[in-house]
Amino acid sequence: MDHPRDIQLIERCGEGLPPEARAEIDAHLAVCDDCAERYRQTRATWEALGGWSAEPEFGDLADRVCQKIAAGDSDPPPVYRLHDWVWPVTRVAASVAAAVLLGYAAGLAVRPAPSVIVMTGEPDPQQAAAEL
Amino acid sequence: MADEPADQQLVAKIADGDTAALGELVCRHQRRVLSLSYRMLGRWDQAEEASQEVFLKVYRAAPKYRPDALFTTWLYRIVVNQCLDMKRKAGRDPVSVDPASVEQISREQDDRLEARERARRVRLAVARLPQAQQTALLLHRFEGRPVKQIAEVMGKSGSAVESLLVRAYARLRELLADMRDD
Repeated sequence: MDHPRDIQLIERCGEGLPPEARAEIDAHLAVCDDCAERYRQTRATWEALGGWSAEPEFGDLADRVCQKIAAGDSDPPPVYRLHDWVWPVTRVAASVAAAVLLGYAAGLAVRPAPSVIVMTGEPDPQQAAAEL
Repeated sequence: MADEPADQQLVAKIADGDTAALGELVCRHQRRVLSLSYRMLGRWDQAEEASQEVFLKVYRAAPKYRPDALFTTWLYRIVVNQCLDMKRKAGRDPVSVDPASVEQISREQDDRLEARERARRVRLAVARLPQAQQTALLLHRFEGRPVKQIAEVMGKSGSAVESLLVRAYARLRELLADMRDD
């Protein structure tokens, strides 16, 4: 085989490779000193990481989760929420209302201002008669 | 165990509001959820908080769960997202050493002192990796997940995850050089 890639050497350290692939890599490592050295270093890092143990204390995690649910601290599964429709409908209604208001405001903005007649003083009877 | 319901069956029961099924699912997966949360967050108290929230999210999301991938892929995705959320909110180096715990360790005179020191050094080295490399490494080295599943959990391609892993192990080789037995 060709020289194994780095990821293959990493996988060789774990249990992820199928037996045939492991055997193929092992056969190569037996005859290639460079790759054998690469594998030795990878393996050493792999083993060093194994020093990070994490043994959790399980305690009563399941009980606490179920108690939270029972206490109503968590919403029930959505399939049971009859009010699921409220939020989408509210959003649509709000959008429609906003569009109507916007249209109304735009209509006010483009409407021409009404003409205004300013009356100053008493009308002149003669001018009024002449206009008639 | 042939009589045990599959994870998917348990999730279907949870979707029907069966909290006993949720309890069984928690017992079945709490080790991996707690361990990964601890390694991502660096503290057991936060890992427990994260784990609790993970299973509550499983409960809430159960009706929407579609078994088109391994259940554990879905679960790990929830764990990773939950921990990343907590790390972002905390706004701190999540795997930093709790000074109180170091002081406590320094006072311990039992045979486990050296092992704890090794664990602490590995934890700090992993914490120095970029977040994506950390996540890929934790899933690969400590959870034993194959590249394909890690890619699904992280939403990346297989080759991207391979690249993350190669860079992570190379960096750790430098950081842990004096810890290796070679």
